[in-house]
Amino acid sequence: MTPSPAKVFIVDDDDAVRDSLKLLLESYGMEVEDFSSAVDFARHYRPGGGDCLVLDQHLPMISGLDFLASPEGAGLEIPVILMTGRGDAAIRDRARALGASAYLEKPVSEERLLAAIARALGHASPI
Amino acid sequence: VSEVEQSRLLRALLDEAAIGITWAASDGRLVEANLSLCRLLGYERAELLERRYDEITHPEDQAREQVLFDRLLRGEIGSYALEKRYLGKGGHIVPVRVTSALTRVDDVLRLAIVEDLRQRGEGEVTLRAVLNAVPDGMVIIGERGIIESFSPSAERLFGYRSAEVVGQNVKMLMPPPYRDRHDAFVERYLDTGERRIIGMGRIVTGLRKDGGTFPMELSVGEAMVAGRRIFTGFIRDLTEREEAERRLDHLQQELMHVGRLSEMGQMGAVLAHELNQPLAALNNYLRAGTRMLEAMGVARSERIFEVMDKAGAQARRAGEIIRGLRQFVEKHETERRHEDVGKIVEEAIALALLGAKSGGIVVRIEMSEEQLSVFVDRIQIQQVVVNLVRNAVEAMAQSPEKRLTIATRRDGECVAVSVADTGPGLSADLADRLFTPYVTTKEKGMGIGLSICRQIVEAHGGRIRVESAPAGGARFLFTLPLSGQHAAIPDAAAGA
Repeated sequence: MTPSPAKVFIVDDDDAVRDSLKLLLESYGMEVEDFSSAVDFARHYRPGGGDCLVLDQHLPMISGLDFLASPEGAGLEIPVILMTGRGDAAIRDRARALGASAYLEKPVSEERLLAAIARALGHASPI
Repeated sequence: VSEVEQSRLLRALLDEAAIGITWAASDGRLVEANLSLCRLLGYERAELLERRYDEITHPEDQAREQVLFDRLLRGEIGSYALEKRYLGKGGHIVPVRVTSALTRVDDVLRLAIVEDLRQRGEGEVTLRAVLNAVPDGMVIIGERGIIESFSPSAERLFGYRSAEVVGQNVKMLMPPPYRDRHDAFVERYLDTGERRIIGMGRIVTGLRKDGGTFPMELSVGEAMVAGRRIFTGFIRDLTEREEAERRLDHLQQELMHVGRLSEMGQMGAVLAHELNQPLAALNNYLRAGTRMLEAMGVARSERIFEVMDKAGAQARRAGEIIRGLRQFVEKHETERRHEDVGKIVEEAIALALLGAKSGGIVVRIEMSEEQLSVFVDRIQIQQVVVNLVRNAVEAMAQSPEKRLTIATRRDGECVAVSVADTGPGLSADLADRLFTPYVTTKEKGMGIGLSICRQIVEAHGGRIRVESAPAGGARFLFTLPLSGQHAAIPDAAAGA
């Protein structure tokens, strides 16, 4: 048993997607903090404040990948899972190059998301 | 001077006259003819005097002359003049002007004074030389539709020698059904004076000697020559031009088809993405709700779980449908071949400017001298070029200076195609967003065109961008990998 629940950040600009994802992860006992943009997330994030970031690629102002390439993104020491609705090989390759721990195409199934989070947290299973 | 001597002198005088002279008896027999007429028709005098007047007259001119001759016989007129055709020895046609009167000796004699119309003086020789040099074919017909002149260019166009057609009805140069109507057309014109083709050009079909037909532009003029009406027909072969237009027409239809498909595809992709979001949320909510019910201790046997599962299954089903649509759109592989960039770009430019309001635009095409081969779907790439050129033309609608520059050049392992205009140009902000769907500068635009261009170019492994042109205005530039590279990894684009 882990002493405290894992804390996951979700960044997605779609309110319903973000809210439903938060509820789903919370139903698995995770603590979730959500943001509608990477800029918002960067403003609130403090090192040691969380365990994993689930990041959407298509975001206003700065895209998920561009955020990862920025100094704030590069300075993150937590694993990042990138989600995209319109993925292609170029995005996947860039995500890998920028050190994302997983790359998921939307719609993301519950199983794959939980498995990706578990891997990112170094667990064999999500709970 | 004796009577015999007088007769001989008169004979010599007649023979030496530059004009042909003959007398025919009332039964039509030729009873006398001078040497000029014999030469004109190619007969020995003895041979000619065995002929009858109607035998040396072209069959199609006989009735016309008979009418006049009857009036002469009835005393209604004293003489008549007529341009007609004689038939020489061997059947060759001799256009002549005949002045005829009656002389009465023992029998009624028909006197015909014959002028050779083949020699109308130097002016005509010059004119003929000029007409022969015109690349258009020229055919002259009389008012009965009989061909009187057939230029060397006409010989080349129709495949007939002049000698084969002069004297024949011009309808032999027309395929049915025009062939059968032509006489009636001419007759109606002579009756009513109503012009249907004279004085204006028209595109008609010509019939060659070998039976083949060809599109031609026919301009018909009318002239009075020596009191006689003739029609001149100038003929321009449209075979090549029509072929080019047909090809462009075909291409345009293909492009429109692809355009519709692409717009549908693009809209499908946008729709798929937009619908994916709420469906994903729905799925998440259902799963979260299920887990909440479990956490509340609701027994797994309660029907609420069955209902939640069914709802989740339907949400996933909708997701599958959308995924299928997207895959169909994205994997809609098209025919790719090795193509010469210069050729497909040139064709696309011609097409784009064909229907565009391109008046006043100076078009400059700078093609790479190197032959650049790419492995592409020709129609799709041409659609990109057409789109860019049309946009450029539209962008310059209000510009005082309208210059359109289209260039191809090699850029490393790629070929770069650029389309530059002298329109108002684009702001940096707009330039960034221009290739995304539903962004447009046009009042009536959908904003779909450039996003399709990007989709096509990127699917071919290239890039598209816009920059400010050196001369002001915008320059769109897209790249395509050269064939050599692509051939090595043929699935590079398909796997993306």
